[in-house]
Amino acid sequence: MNAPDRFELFVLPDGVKKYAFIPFTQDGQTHASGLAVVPQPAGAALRGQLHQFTMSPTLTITPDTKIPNAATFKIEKEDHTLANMLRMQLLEDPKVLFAGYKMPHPLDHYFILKVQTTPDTNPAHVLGNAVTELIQCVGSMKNKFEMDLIRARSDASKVDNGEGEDLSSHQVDMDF
Amino acid sequence: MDIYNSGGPEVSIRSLKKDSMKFVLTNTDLSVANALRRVMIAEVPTMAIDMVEIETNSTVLTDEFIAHRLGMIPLTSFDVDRIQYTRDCTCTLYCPNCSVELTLHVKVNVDYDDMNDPTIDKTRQVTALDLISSDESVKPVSDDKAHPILIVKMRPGQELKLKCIAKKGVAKEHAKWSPVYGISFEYDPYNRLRHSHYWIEEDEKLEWGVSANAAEETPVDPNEPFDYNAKPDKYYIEVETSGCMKPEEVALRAMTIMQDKLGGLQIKLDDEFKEDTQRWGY
Repeated sequence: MNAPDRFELFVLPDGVKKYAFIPFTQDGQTHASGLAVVPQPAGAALRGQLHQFTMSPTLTITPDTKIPNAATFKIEKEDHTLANMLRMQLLEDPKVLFAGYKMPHPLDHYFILKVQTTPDTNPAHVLGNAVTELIQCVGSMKNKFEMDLIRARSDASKVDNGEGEDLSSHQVDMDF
Repeated sequence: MDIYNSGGPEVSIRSLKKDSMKFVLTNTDLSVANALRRVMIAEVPTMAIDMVEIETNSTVLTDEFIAHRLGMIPLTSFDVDRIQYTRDCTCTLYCPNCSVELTLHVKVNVDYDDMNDPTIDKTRQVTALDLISSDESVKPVSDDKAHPILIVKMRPGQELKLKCIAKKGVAKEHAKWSPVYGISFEYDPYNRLRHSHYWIEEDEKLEWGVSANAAEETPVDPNEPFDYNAKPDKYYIEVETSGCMKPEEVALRAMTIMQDKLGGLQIKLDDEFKEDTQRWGY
């Protein structure tokens, strides 16, 4: 009866802006909420692009008023899959002083990523670098996988034992 | 994974079968390997029956019971990229661009000669092979024709007539859309990192033993001091699919989806970043 729709885990609701820019306020306001509601133009014209919007995470950046070079990123409709990867990659960066994420409530499908850096850079820049490195990492993993797939398939065809050949019986030099 | 790691992640496929695949992933962080596992389970899109219009059902199972079973039938989804999500499609309700129609009509006729003969087996098994698809590329997985997926059993006088609409989706919405039956994920079989704390009565080695993957790593030297700087590095992953797509396809699509997620985030960041000069100044 009260169960929320499952597609809310990943679909951005209509009328919500993909991302909002919260300006830095001087009067000590600690945390702006994040999502600015802007009416989306409806109609079939936008429908073709809607898929890209609904599957991309929305991002809100809130600079921290009390701590220098710190910001909170709120990413909608994403979970630990993305958050943990980003956090681990940020921690590899020597310019990052603090990086952590949390999901305030499992029924609210977004996570908060808090980043603090050294004064010579800023959190958005550092996150951008982390994302770039991760894309390279995943891309390289995909390439290696495809290459090893070609090798594995050619090994299977060499033996010519029909489908379902278990390659673990072939001792190929596979130490990396 | 950071720039000091030589070469980035390494993949070595140990076994490649029709429905399952074993591979070893090295030189990446645990979070990346786990993200790959999570995406393979929950975010690789497949086709599954999502709506069922029942015209006649005089079987012993209720409408919703049969509809649930139909939803769980794996459908071949190697061509799923061609199909759009129904929520993104320009049609109203559904169309061949965003869905596939499957029909089923089974009527077990009463044979008045055999009606009262108890020795003749009149039970008709309705299986996934009875589902007729409008699109050849999306139909129930039927690798093992000797053991098809059973939907319902019927007897003379019963009839089942229905129309199913299969749609594209991800397991985040419902587990029926998951392309895998199970993913085995292991790292550090000798527990050098002490990530596992085993419940024991007396002896860990005797009571728990080691997994098959331990053959790939050097055994623990009892005098070896604990390496507190070590991080998980080598992951033994086995992917078993439902037959809807090949296991290597599942892994490749999962990596593509991870890239898309990160790419989308990067685009947003670039947009925000452009206004950064006035924002970060203190």
